[in-house]
Amino acid sequence: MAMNYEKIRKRFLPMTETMFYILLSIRQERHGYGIMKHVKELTGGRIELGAGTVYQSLKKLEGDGLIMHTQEVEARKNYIITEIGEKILIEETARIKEIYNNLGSIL
Amino acid sequence: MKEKMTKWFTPFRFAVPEAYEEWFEQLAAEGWHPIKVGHINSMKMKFEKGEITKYRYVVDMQVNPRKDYLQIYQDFGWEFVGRMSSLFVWRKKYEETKPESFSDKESAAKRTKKFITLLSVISTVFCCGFIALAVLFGVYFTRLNSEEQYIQFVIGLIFSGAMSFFMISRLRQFVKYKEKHKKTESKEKKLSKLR
Repeated sequence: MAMNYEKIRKRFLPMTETMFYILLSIRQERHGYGIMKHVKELTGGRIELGAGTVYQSLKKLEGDGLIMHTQEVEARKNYIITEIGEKILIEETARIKEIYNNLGSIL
Repeated sequence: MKEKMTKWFTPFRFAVPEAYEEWFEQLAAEGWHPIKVGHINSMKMKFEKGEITKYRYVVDMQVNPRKDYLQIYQDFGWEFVGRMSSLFVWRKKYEETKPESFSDKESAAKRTKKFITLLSVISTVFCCGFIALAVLFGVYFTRLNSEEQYIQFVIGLIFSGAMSFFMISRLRQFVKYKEKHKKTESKEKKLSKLR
């Protein structure tokens, strides 16, 4: 398990903006299209995820156990973050916070 | 009676998915639309002349698509044109901004890499076959005792040689495409600096 987690960390950290927002938005159960809408809202329309990107990312995240699918509603799979996913997300958040704290001299 | 045309072996003509998509989009801009895209149409694809349409085409390779693959694309407003083996073809009408299915650099690069990996694997298989046959031919050259065996060898060599050549030329096409794109990108950068 510990060994496995190290591997996952290496695969996902640091994270792309896309991955980060997808993972963040499925802390609440959502399906593919729902994720896109939520991320668009969170970023004020700046990030509009494409279908291929969402599908590809979900597949990767689920394959490595960061998320899992829950129930299926009308051929739409819902996804939710797992414990491992939450751990990765927290680590990434700490990294971004560190960057944020180091920005003081710029603005 | 609508005007029709036929195109042969279309998926094999493009090394990069972007080039295949551009080709479909160009045809749509001239009013040509594929009548049917199914497994068999990778060999022979028929087009019908219709309305000039601004379409964004997406060619996506999915060897083992999961249950929600089609649903996700359809939810995002893509029209399923068809599939040829593991090649899925999607399209979407648009007015101004061109819609993208792979919205960030990383996922777009990953998509292209999948194509190239497959192409490289096929090229390697044919090249190895060609080399193995050539070696065998050299070794057994003096010991072949019938014309039939000769002919079999030569046919094998020609076939694997031609396939190797074809596949490698696809890979070269890919490298050229990438270089062209790099050039246009750096040109744009220079121009924007000048402004």
